[in-house]
Amino acid sequence: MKKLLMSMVAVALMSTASFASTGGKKSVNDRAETTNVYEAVVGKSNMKIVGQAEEIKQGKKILCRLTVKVYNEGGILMSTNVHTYTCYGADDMFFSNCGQYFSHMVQSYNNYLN
Amino acid sequence: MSKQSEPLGSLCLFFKKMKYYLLFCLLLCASWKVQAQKLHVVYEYIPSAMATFQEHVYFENGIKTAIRDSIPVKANTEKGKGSEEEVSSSFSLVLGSGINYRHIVIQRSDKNELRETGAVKGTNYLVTDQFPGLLWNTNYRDTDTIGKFVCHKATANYRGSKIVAYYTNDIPVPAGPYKFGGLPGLIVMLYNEGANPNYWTLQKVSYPYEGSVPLNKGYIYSLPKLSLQDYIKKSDALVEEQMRIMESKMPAIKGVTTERTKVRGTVEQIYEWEPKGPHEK
Repeated sequence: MKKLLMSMVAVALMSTASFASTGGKKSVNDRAETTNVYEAVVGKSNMKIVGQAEEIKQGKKILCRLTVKVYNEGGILMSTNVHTYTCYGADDMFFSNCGQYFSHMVQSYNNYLN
Repeated sequence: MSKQSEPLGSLCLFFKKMKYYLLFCLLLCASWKVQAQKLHVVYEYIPSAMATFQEHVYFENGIKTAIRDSIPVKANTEKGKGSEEEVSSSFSLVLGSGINYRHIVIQRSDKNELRETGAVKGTNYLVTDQFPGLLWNTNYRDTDTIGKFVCHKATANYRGSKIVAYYTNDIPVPAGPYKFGGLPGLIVMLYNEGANPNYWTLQKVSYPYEGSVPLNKGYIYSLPKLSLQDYIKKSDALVEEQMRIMESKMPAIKGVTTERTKVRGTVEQIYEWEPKGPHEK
């Protein structure tokens, strides 16, 4: 397994990846109040992963959507992974806000690489 | 009367025929001149917002050689748009073999079969592509000025994508980037329509070109050989393996749903041997 991982995963060149708000917009859905879109900065790497996080507030519920785009060394998009989590704010068992969830996901990707 | 008109008539016929022969010879000479003049152009190739590459295209004696650099011109240096609403930080990764090769396409104007190089898991291959050819639609009246060239629009369908090209009659060489060409003039700009467009724009022109094609043919033809179908199969399998390993390594969180969509970010969306495009997983 280690060999397989070694063959696939080279050194992770870390660069800051941050999610920054790009502004909110009103959703067509009546239940949804606001939608915030966050974009992640990309790392310098052979295969790149770009994250885009979206926060959709629906009353007490918040849909936290993280879109991860995977590129190869030629800059070609290969896969799009969308991770969705329903957050219940302060009552939530795991994450009290989308930020915590996004951080956790990013950390998981980081851990996978190291 | 009839005796006089007979030689005159045959003389007229002779000159008429001569006119066509002369025209034919002129066209032949013109095409030979175009064929004989070498061309070197540089395109900027943008496969996505992630990277930009330079692609050198040479055209000589009906043979086009496109060489795409292995090192991107620009690395994405985009930073976060603000720290006020920053919710997470520090993530990036490197996957792949770590060895990047130049991508080379060798194409003859009179043949559909072309050769290109392609790498899988760090091994470079010589790939044979039975190129389906391009049926260009040039019935567009609109012209556009791109750089210093007056360009004409042309479109074609190519492996599941609609290709839009702008070519110039100022350089009457039927060349273009990657596997594209066959228009009355040099392609100045080309892109594919769709969710993930790839762009090529002309940056530099050397015509006529005095130099030679910087290609080690011995090395190229000594590479292990693959058909395009086998090469695509290998690369798709590698991507699938990489994604599967990554997914298996990600911790499972209760309540998180993951949807993975396999994407072909290239110009080619559906190959001849495929019934449909890439499927969603």
